Amino acid sequence: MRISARLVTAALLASTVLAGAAGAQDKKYRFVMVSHIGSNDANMGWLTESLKTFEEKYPDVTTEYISTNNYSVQEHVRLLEQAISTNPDGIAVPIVDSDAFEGPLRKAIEMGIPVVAFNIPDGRPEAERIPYLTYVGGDEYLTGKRLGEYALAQVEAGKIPAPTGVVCAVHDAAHQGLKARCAGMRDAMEATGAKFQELFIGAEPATARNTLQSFLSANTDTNYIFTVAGWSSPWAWGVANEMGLKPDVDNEGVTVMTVDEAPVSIEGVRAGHILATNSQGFWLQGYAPMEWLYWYHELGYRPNSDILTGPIVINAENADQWAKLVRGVFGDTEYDNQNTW
Amino acid sequence: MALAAIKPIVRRHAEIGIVLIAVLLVVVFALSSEGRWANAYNIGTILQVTATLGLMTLGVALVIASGEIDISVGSTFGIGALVYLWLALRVDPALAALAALTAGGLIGAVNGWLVTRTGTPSLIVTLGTLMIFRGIAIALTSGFAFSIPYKDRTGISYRLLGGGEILGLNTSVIWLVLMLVVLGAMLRLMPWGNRLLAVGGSSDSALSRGVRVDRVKFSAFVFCGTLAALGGVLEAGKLGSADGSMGRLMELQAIAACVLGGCLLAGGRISLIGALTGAFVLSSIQSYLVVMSVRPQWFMVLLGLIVVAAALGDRSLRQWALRR
Repeated sequence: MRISARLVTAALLASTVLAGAAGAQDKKYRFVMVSHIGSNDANMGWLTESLKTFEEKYPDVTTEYISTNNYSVQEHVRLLEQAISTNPDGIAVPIVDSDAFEGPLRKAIEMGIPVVAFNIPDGRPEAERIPYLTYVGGDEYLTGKRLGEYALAQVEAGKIPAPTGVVCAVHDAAHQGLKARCAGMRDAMEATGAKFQELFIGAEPATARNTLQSFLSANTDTNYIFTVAGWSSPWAWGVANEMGLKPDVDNEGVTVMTVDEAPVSIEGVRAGHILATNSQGFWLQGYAPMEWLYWYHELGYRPNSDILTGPIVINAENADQWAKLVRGVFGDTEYDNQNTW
Repeated sequence: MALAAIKPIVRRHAEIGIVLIAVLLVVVFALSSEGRWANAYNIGTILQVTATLGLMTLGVALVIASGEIDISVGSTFGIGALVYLWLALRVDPALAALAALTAGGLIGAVNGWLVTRTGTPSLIVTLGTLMIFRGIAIALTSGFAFSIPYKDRTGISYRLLGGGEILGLNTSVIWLVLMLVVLGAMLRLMPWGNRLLAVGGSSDSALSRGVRVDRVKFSAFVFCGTLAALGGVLEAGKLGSADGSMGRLMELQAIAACVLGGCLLAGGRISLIGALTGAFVLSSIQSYLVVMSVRPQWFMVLLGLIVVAAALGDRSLRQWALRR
């Protein structure tokens, strides 16, 4: 009874502390970012750091970051509904599934809550879109396409082998954005005649490595691996290396490409393991939606078009500069912690 | 003196502990969230989440009462949602729902058949089917979602199947109440209820008294699959969209809700009201942490701590009630 009494007391105390946090929020505006990026994804740091910077610039605003580490569209919609129920002054949300998000977001907009889409837009024609203020983010399809085009330019320059088989390694089979990245890469590679395949590897390292190993053993013509998450690139490189497929960036063996301006992606490029990665301007994707919401309230601003923050190819030539920028945002310790090479 | 009078009630009703904890949490959450948690919109959301999770929980409770376990319900929920949405664009939503329930019932029948015919532990069998049907759900959607466009979500059938509201409450809540009444009546008024508890209490003893143990267990699995699919249908109706991840990890919440609600994992004891209250408690805690903007890295820790505290509180209350 004593232990349980203590636990119940602890739970009540935690509630009181949380209530204190709520009570402290007596600022002019409260903006909520309902994200699909949990703390198990290094990219969350970009968003939370940019929100912190925003709060420093606009002290009359409180920002809140809500997400889950067990992502699903179902869970995301639940978080969104619960965020709407707190009646915030603005919401920033990625439109992961326009059909699933339309109901709650239309309700929020009808309640007078301005909405900015970030990271993933409503991909439907403009007249059918959810009526959000604007979209701030990259373009998933272009992410794959630009990286593919960059690789082909390197083939032209004689720096890497021409593609004979390309595999797009996907960790979340239900994520439309990742499929779009693969589609961009597929379209970029189409003219080369290389066989293009998508492979579901999952997000668990051992399973992903086993799956990749089996795939590469069965598809010996595959010499390009595109991992659509930065953190899975060391797994792909490691498997290819153990199989003797020479995955470093040179004119033989396998070539690995990945995404994001995460430390693991940038250091992969700097170490010569990864040909290229990309930035979709994650920092801006956290900061800019908040600023648009603020300006909407204060000045009545409504952007006239979507705001694209990427993609930008990160390669051996500019990786040092990117490393400097990312260290400045994450700090040296966090940067080194996230480098899993 | 007054406390002593409560003891027999607590002893007789396994769900008293979780109901008291639910009341305590509601009061604490309402007082400490400055209206963020206790408002009509949020309570409506919590009840909708409780309804779909609760339907799954009712089914799991039946299987647990029979002395088995079904952890495939998360995938069954997903299959139910996908079958419903795929068909609802082509035929009347009521027919689509019927097909989805049939699919759920069939998954339950596969589980039940494998468990009763092969003697393989239900944990292993349903772990396998959890993966099989999750894989099928992912393969069916191929990374995309089955959905009904927002403007096409009309018609009485669609609205009654989770896609609409009555008096500010999602229609899934009505289905939950309906199922609770039907299952409650089956457990209390029909011989099947007694047989289910007898099988869970001691299958050998039940068999010796002429109860067809395999048939009772099989029926519990079929009910469980059907209820999980109904939950999936109603969730799909609410969202208008479902992908391969629909229902993922809900099986753990359903089992936790049953245990919190006074169902004995070894079988033979069940409380439908308790299991539903457990589902409500889980949904409420989750919602509270969200509206209080707890960062995702602490969310799971706090959720787990509060669930453990609630479980220990419930257990202590029962032990106190059993002391003479």
